[in-house]
Amino acid sequence: MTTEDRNIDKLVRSYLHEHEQKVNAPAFLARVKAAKPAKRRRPALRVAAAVSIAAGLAIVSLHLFRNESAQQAPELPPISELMQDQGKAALTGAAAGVAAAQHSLQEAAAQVSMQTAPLLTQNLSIPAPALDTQLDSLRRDAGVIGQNIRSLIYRTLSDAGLQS
Amino acid sequence: MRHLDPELEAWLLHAAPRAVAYARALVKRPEDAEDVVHDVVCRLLDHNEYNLAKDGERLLFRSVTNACINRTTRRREIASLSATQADGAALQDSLASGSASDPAQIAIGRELSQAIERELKNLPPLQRAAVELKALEKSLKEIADILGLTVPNVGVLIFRGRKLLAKRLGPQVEEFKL
Repeated sequence: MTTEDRNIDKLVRSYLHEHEQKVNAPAFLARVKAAKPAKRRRPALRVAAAVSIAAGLAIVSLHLFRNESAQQAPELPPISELMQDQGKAALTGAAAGVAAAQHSLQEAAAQVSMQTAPLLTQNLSIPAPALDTQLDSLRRDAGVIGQNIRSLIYRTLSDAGLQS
Repeated sequence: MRHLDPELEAWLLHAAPRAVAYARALVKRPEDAEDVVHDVVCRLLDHNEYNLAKDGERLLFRSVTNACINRTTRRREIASLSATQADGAALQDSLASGSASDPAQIAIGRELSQAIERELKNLPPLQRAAVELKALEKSLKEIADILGLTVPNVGVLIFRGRKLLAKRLGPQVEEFKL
């Protein structure tokens, strides 16, 4: 370390020391003590993201299942009554799951709108109209995804001869 | 109301002023430094998994560095004629010691303090942080831990930061005989 380096360190240290002395440590401590512990926020956005990914995977799986069924249908033996019942129950369950997922996504969008939109607008300087547009788009997407999955399920049921 | 152990209080009384002084040159508006450190301390206290009495110094400086960089690079400043001037509080700043009561000495000290702050702010954020932490007598290993870098990288940052400061502050240092 050269003398010049030592001088620079000395200058920076004196600058830091000067401002360190100006901090009122007891007042700072009192301020920290008075601050309320942060509440854990409901991870609305994470829920929305997880639901979107799950819905996407469901769409891809159903597409694959449908294509495979269509290609292999002539070679497959007739489905027994038991298999039909099980398949129908599974697909009905899937439809209910999709409806629940759609509801969660819309709920998550509503939570974002109600709870975090003012925070986002104030703290991140996101213009309110832009945020509203995003949230509207999210709600619309939730509706579209739900409709698409439902129609895919019904089409699959229809293809498999489980529903007229 | 938050309850703190006496040990934690003692640590906070010692570490917080250093962290505020460190943050001062890392944020755009020096008066924001205390708010940044306050937010960081509150967040650290909310996490029970952190042992602040044992490892608090490293965690605090690391979190303050990240918070300052986030605040500097991601926050959009609102330009307004009524906005407070960044150097509003700096008018009271002075490097003069308690014994320097001569107005000329006070003015010189204030000018030098402002020059150091200005030139520190002109350094890239990581260089600035590394130079400040070195001046706070942290080892290269500790600085590397705080900044999430390798030791050689920290050495390079400090070397370059010192060179730039020496180049820019050199005339003033000569002039003020410091």
